[in-house]
Amino acid sequence: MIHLAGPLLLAAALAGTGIYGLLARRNAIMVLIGAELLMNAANVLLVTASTLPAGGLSALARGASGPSGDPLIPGQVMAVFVVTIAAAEIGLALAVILLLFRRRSTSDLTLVTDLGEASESGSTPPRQRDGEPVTAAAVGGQSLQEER
Amino acid sequence: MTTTAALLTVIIPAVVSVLGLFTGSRWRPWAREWAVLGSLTCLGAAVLEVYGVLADGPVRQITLLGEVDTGIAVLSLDLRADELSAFVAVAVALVACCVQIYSTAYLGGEGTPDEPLRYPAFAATVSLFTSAMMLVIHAEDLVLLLMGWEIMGISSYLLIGHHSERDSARAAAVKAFLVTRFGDLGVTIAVVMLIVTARTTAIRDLLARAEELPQSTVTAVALLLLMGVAGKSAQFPLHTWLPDAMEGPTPVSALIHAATMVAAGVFLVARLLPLFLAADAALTVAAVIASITMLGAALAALAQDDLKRVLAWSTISQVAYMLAGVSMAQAATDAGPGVFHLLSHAAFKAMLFLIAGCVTHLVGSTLMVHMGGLQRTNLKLSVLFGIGLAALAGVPPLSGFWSKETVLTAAEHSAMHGGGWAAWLVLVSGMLTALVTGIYAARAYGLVCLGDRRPPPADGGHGVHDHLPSAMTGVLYVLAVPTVLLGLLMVHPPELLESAEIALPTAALGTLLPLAGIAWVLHLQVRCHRDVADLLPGAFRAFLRSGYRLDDVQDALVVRPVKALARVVAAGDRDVVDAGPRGTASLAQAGGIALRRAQTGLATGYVTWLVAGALAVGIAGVVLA
Repeated sequence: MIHLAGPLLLAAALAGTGIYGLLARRNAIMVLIGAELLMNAANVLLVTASTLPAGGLSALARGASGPSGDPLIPGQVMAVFVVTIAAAEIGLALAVILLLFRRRSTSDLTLVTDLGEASESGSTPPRQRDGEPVTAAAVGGQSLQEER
Repeated sequence: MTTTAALLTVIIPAVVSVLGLFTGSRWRPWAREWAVLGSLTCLGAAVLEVYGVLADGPVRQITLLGEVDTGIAVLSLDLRADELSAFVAVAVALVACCVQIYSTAYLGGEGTPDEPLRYPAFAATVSLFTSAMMLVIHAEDLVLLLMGWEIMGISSYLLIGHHSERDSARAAAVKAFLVTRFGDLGVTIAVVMLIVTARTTAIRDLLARAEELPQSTVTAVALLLLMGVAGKSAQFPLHTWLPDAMEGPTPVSALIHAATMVAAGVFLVARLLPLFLAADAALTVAAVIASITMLGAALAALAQDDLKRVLAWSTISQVAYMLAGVSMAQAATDAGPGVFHLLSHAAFKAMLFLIAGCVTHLVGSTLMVHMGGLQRTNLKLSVLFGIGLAALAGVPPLSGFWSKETVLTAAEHSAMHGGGWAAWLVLVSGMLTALVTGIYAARAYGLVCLGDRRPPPADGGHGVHDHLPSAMTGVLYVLAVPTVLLGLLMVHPPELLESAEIALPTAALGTLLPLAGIAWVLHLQVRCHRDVADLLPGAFRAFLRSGYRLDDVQDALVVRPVKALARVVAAGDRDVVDAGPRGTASLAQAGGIALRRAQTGLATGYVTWLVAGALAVGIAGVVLA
């Protein structure tokens, strides 16, 4: 049985990297990778927590050892769910990023602020077509039609 | 017969006015016929009423609206017909009839686009005015009387402001309305007090039980009623509306001054005389008010430059005579002198105002500077004018002489038989007023009729005409008859006027004073070509002309504080009451503007908030655990 410090440190490193990727990177792909890393940090924590005795860390400190009860404990089940959702999510997110790149020829998130309030940030004002503001869905739909 | 006639005097003008006001343009071509026919029928009914009352005695109760149970008292909204109401009704109907006929010519045609004449509305409002006055004089219940009283208020407002395109007319109308309303407040409170304490407002009950009511209540009620009397009859200090009311068309002035509005106050005192007799204080106050008003208004009349304003101030002075006459009463039957003066004043003042309208028609101005030489240009008119002014001054044997001397005799009688200082005040003031009346009447005659024809006003005047329509001159002769002959009532006086007597010494003095005044003024005017008002020092004359600057006092004491209060209330409404809802709105708006900044559209920014939130939740979890 390995020491608890290893997985926790791994989780912390993953989370830290992920948050860095989320907040500091401009490239949409890198932001997505940050999100994935964060999710995997959560996964590691879930699996680690499932090995703890009933009562968690405080019970461990009191001297209890080893997992108790059913081995198919909630932590591992949750980890499987997270993996599944992450797979679906990454497909969707990649599709969005792909469409964004096709439309704007960029994946820099700081240049895509169309849905915000028109402000002093220097973003391009939303294009008007038939009097309606151009939304992301409309942009995607149009580009799909153009592909056909 | 009396019953029907009394009902008709009230109902006919009411019907005519409703028809005129609400049928609109459909009956416009016949508005003139309707108005004149209505007023003639009303006059006929009033004459029948007098005949009936004299032949069969008074009718105490004529059902009009039936009984109304208010829960605290039963009001019987009925009419009555006695000598007082019948005689006043004839005076009102006669003047109203003359005014209606006169105004068909005076306000005939369409007028100019800037100043439309609006005859149909005018005629209908005059009918309404007549009907309201008839209601007042026939009312058997104080509540019904108050209704007529208020309708008169609104009619006078409408008529004074008839030329509503003029600012001055609107201001005068509002002033008349507000000042008389202030007096009406007293009447309203008095009626409520009577309902609460006496449980009745029927006049016959009040008169019968005046002695039984608590002294304090009777005094309070009488003083409050006196407030309304001062407002309606334009007595000091509520007289300020009357000179301004000259903004109305001249026939309206004739109507208001002669028969309807100002007479109503005196009529009310005469009607409720037993109630006032039970409250000595009120009668004393009335006598003092009348003494101040009669002399003050006569002096103000002396200094006026405008013919209509001379007549207006003389009305205030003459109505004060009537009030003095009724306030000198010592028994319930002593209303005679005041009512007699009311009747004769109605005749000669209506005539004088209608003549003033004629002169204005010829000259195109109401300022006496522009008049003169009427004796040469229109002898008949100047003779009629002279008769009217002589009656006003009390020259025998005209009607004004008889009625004024009865008032003075009543004052002397009261002074000699324990009337106290108030009676002496009335007597002295009345004598002096008689002198001043003679002076200003002669001055008006001299300025308008004697001398040479003056140049017309520089701006071409207000429509100068060469001859007078017969509708305008005809009614003058009609009014001249009672002006000259009303004194014949003294030969065989009806019960109402039996108390009106003439004592020779008083009458002699009361006649010699105005005659001396007239002689002096005419002498000055003819021999020296001097206006008697020029003898007054300039500043004093201006002071008198402005009505003792009471308008300024009123402005400082009432108008400005009220306006300041209005501003405070408006500010309170705006800055306190409205601040709540408006504050909520601007708070939400400010919040919206602040939160709007957060919506950058930058996905990373949103995630930052998300992470910060998660961190906060995590830290909170650790700390709280």
